[in-house]
Amino acid sequence: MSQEKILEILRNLGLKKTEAKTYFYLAKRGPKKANEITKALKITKQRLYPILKNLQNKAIVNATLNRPAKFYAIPFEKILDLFAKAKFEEAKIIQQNKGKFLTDWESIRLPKDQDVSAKFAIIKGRNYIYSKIQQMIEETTTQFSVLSNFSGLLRAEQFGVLDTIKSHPLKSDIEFRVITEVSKNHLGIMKELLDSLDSCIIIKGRNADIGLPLFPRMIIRDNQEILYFISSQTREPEDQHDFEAILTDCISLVKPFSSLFEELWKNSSVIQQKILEIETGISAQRTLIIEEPDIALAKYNEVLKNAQKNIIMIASSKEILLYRKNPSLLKELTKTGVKIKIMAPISRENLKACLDLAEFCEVRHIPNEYMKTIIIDGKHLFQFKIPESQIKDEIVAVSSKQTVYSNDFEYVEKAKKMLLDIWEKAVIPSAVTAGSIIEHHLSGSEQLINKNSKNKIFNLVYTSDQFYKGTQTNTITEKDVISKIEAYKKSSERVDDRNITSCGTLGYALIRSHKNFDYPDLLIIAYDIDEESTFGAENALIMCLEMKAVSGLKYYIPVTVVGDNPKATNGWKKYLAGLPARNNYHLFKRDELYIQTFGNTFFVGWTRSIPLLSTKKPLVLPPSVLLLEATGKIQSRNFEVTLHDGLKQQHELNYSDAFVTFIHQKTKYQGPSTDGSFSRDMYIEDLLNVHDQS
Amino acid sequence: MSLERIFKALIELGLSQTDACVYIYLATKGSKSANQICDALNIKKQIIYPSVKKLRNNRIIAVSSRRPLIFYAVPFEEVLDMLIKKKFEQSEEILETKKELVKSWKSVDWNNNK
Repeated sequence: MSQEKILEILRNLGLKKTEAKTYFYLAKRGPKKANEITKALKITKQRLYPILKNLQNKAIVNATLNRPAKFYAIPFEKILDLFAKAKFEEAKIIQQNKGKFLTDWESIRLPKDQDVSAKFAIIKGRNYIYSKIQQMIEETTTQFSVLSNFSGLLRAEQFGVLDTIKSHPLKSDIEFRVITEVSKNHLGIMKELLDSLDSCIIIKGRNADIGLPLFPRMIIRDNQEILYFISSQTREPEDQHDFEAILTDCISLVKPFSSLFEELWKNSSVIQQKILEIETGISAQRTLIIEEPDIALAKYNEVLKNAQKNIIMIASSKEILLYRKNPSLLKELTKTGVKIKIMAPISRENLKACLDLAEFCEVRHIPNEYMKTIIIDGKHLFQFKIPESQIKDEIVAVSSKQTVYSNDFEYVEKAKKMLLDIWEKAVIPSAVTAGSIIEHHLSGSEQLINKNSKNKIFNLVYTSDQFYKGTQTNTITEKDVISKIEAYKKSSERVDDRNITSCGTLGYALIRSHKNFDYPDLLIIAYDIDEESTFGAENALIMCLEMKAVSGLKYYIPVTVVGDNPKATNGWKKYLAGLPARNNYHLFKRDELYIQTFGNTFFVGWTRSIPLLSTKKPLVLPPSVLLLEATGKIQSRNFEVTLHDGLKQQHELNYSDAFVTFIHQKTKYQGPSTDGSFSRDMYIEDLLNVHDQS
Repeated sequence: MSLERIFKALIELGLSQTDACVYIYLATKGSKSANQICDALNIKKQIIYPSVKKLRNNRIIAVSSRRPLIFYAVPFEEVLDMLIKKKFEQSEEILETKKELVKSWKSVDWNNNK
């Protein structure tokens, strides 16, 4: 047997490598002084003494009393007995104290980490997404909730997801819930699917009667993890690689989605009931489907003209323009005391019309996902199934092949309650758009008042001459901006740190103070900066709060900046000098701040709370998700921005308006496209000033 | 104090300090990836990976079957029973192989070059 083998035996008995070597040396060579041991083992005294101390504590090495002391090993045979006995005793003591350890264990079991280690992960490709779903099912212990359209459900069946549920060992203890849509077109397949399903899965159909959209497509596991589909909410992508979903275990983000699911669940009907309604063609007593457009129109006009108290309606974007063109009927009704509430998707195209209509009725923004619905005097309900493209000059959808009419009290009351619920959450349009704010500029010194600290003068005197003074330099095209970015990326000059350049994607959104958003108006600017930029790749956020100047004017001032690239820290501080954000910079880890573009959607999410201001009343924005969905045509512009100290930047952008969805712990906020912007191509370059050039 | 006692017990039962940290982290915070463990414990991957491997081999933690690999802690009581049993077995094994070990011990002398 070799020395190595012996040392291994000693290590197996519980000695460390050098301890084993020291013991072996002393056991074979007899008592030795410390300096003799250090020479033999080629280790320092500083290292040797703790080793000897450990061996003495284990009672396998002893020391003589004379000085200098000699160390000697206890015979190997004895230490085997010693180790055997020690291990037995240790095991026995722990066994005897097992109950105590378990009590200790229970007392130290901390609640699961909420946000500290919460992360975002992006899953691309259908196969990976469905594999992940299966994994989520396997890990489920209490509840698995799915919100999916019909094709998504069908696809899940093809990928064996439903089989995974069937074979789950804890399936009898788990609540599997699915909300999906059901329509006449796929009634047969839906019935087949239901027949093959396990009874442990409860499926509900969406309440299509008032056009509640299936937004967003998502899967929630045990209220701990969410898989959120970024790809089209309404149809399945053709290419499997176009499937994209975001996975997060950030509890603060999972919570609002869970609430959304619960709300939809509450308002959905058991699927079998939905199927029966479709099959029989009767969704409620005294509710009928009018197939003939002329009859539907006549009925609608008659009820509308005789309105006496109130009208609440969901209109399309185009219809708003038509109401503005021909407002006489609505105006007449309001003169007789009828209160009118209109909800419609608001964009740049119809903002003016909305503001005009708002002079005699209330108008609010809702996403472009709802079916046209009108409830008159809380007694009559009309629903028109008509695509936006077919709306031409007529306000009412006369070409609609199916108009649902109901005067069933219970049914109309239920629908009205839901419409009012949507109304409560809807955002009021404003002539002050995000675009107009971003171009606003300060001139001269201003003392600012922080709205959040009850109109006290904010302890900042903003002395910069200008913050965002945008000056259009010349006309450019979409191609010009792309070419500029491409040329920059190929250029070797981009290593010059004096000339700081950033390219990538930019999005901004104005989140207005609202019943469901208990904050002052907030402007969020998000950057997804490419790696070719001066400081390398970065995700960054600038949060701006509305502040009132002593002069009475209102400004949006950057109060917080969040980035994930340490190299860019000083760059941000330089740009934001003189502003509250200068001293409120937060460096996040890469996976705590997630910004990415998915098709027309710009996704921004963060898993850590963001302090907005350090005032008497701390204002903190919890982990949230911001979605900007580009709409309308792409526009291009370039402009020069003057920052503090004469620092100038050249901005070149290809941008479009974007509908805003902001999801945070309390609610889902949805803003018009005049409150959001998405710049797919962004190029920002510092212009060297006199100081730099010298 | 409770955490200290638990930590000490795990060390006495044969876990290294890193192993004990990883196990306690997983058992208290729930399932995590290797990267999450590294970040939370502020320990390099080169140290965490062998530790996780060792803990898996000893069935103190388990791993998900699909990627991304997620690690889970085996319930504390099970780990405790397993490690106690192992300790008793080690004690028995030493006594059973004592004669053979002593024989081997006698056949090898200290070699200064190793």
